[in-house]
Amino acid sequence: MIFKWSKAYFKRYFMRPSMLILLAVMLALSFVFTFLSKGEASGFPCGVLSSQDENVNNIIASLEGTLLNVNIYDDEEEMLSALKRGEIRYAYAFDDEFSAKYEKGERRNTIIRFSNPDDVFASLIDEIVFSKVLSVCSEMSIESFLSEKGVSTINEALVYFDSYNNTLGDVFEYEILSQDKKPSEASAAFPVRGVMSVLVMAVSLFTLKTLLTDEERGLFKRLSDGRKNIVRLIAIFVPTCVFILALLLALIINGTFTALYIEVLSILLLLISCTSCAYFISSLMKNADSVALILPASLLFSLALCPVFFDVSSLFSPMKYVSALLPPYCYIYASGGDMTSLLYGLGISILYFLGGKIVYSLQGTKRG
Amino acid sequence: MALLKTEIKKTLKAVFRFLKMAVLMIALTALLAAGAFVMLDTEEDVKIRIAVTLPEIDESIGGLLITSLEGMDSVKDALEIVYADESEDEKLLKQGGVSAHIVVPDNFLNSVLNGQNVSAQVRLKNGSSIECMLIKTGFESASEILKASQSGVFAIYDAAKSGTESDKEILDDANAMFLELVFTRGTMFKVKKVSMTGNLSVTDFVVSASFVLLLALLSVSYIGMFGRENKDFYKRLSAFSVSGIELAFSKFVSCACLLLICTIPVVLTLVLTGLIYKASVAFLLIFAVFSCSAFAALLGALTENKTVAVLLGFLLAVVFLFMAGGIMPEAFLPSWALRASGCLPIASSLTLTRSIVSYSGEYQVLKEIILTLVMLTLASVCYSFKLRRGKL
Repeated sequence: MIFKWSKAYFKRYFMRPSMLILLAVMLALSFVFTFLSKGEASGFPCGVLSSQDENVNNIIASLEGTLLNVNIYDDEEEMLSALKRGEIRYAYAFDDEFSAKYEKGERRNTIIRFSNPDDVFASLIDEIVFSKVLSVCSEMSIESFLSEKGVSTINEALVYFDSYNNTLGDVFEYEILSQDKKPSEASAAFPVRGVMSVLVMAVSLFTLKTLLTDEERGLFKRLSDGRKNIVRLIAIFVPTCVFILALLLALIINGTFTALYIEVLSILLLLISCTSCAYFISSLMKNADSVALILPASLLFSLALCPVFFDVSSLFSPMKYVSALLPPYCYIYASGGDMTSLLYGLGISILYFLGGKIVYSLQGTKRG
Repeated sequence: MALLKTEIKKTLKAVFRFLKMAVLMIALTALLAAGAFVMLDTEEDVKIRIAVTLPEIDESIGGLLITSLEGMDSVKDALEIVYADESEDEKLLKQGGVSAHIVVPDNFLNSVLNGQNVSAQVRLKNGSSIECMLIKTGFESASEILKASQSGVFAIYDAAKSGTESDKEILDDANAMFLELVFTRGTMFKVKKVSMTGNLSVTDFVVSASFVLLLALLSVSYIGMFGRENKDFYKRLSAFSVSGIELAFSKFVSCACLLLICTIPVVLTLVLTGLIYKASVAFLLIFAVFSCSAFAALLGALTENKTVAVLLGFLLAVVFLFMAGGIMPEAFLPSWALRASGCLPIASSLTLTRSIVSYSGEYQVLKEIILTLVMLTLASVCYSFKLRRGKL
């Protein structure tokens, strides 16, 4: 019976242009997301006023390899209007006599930074600029210090400086616990896993429309209550399963497929939780039109409350109890190897299933 | 013209007649308004959390480390530091909402002073998240500053040793010079505040872009809800010799009417959140209405089912918002994606707004018009195809 209905529902869904379009769009999006998360980050667009000072030019040149995307301007007005238009996010103007003032120790206000008043990253960008200033101007500091002290071995000092600078090890060593991509790629990844899992949930809700239309037409009338429940679950399960395969494909394309057993367990969790959640919602819906209304709201909530782009529960801890009710939340944590989330997600799925069954049986009793 | 009138009339009636649409609109606006309130209230508090484990050393040295770490402007502005034990590492990174854990080894300070440089371990939660990338960049800069200072001090010491000067005095003075350089680096920078596009900051943009997302969603919902065209509908239209262009244009105009009405609760919310005084936000909403209407007309032509229209419209709107820098800074997008985003409705509305407020928008206006026309042309082609199919 299960096989017969699965086959029938597979045909019912995938012989329709809308479902095929949705599947094609989802696969196309997975390609777009993959390309979005590959390649070098464009970097924070930053403007620097050109200068005649050789040291300033060296500083500007050394900024190129960082997270800053440097644009050089000849005119301050032009640079500021680019900042106002949003073409650059930070603008730096070095003092005309930067090197001379630096050497004399008159370093106060020698670099002007123009930026948006509430930009939280501005100080971090200043640190990047200062690290380059120090690297470029250290030799100058050494020269002036030694000549002030009357030490004659300045050239030797500069040789020592270069040698130390090349041989001293880094004071920080990085260990990345969960790696979605190669560390050499500087671009922050588009959250393919998160977005695709939300899409799978949306598809499971989308199938309710067909299910409810079938119910309205009286397709299940001859079935017993127990069989009706099985058919309802099949109607949600079949397309969810196909779209989960699309998710797996997206993860493979994106190169974010982790350990096999973790992927299998978390995918199973997503499949079970999405099906049971949609089954529970189907028991509460009165007609197919209502689905069109709950879809955008459920998508908004899922994207906002699940850690797809940002983990809201890190700001407001009790929020995680609300978020955990959404299937993608437990899936995202479980796919990171968090077995507690896996068990929690299974528990929530069972609750959804039982909730749906109770509502349907209450409706049956009422009708009887 | 008759078709256009009918479409507009249908839209205006629908706005007041369909309770579901009104409830959905108010619910979503309330949701976004609540989000906007939270964002505006917590704007100062949204910081990246990192955990630091310090070695068991002399209290005064530990205190110095903490003071110098917390005294940094970049740390004060962007980071929230939690001091923790090394054993709590896994718990902190997985459940504690911490993006990175820095473990400073026991002999770290001595090793820095004698040039051995024993590395402090920076454990990042996820290598590709924005928070971790920023933390890594910050630590790389700190490392470069420390290395340049160390090299300077050691070079001066070695040069003095090979001369005849008093080693100890020179070493102390060189240390003092580099320490002063590093600790007073903040004074090197003079900050001048320049507001982008009439105070439209990044946060304002995220808030207003959320409203734009709502508009895009409503526009496609409208197409799905009230444009339940089927083959018979196209058959009837083709009998009246209605062209695809007329159909696409009437959809565009009626959708724009609906969206302009929908902006009323949005504007009310902006008044409540105190954002309305920024002229640029109003500009952004108006431009977004037009480009989203063209997008909705295209989507309406491509889909026949209202649920598919809502789903597709929403998903594409999320991608558009993401590529316009509404969800994460544009800096982390690859450069090709940044270029492509200029052709998408939300990003192009933002660019146009910024250009208009900066009094140099002629080229952008032209670009926006071309973009809208391209979307309408595509919609016309799709509608023509449907009409022709209706005729057969």
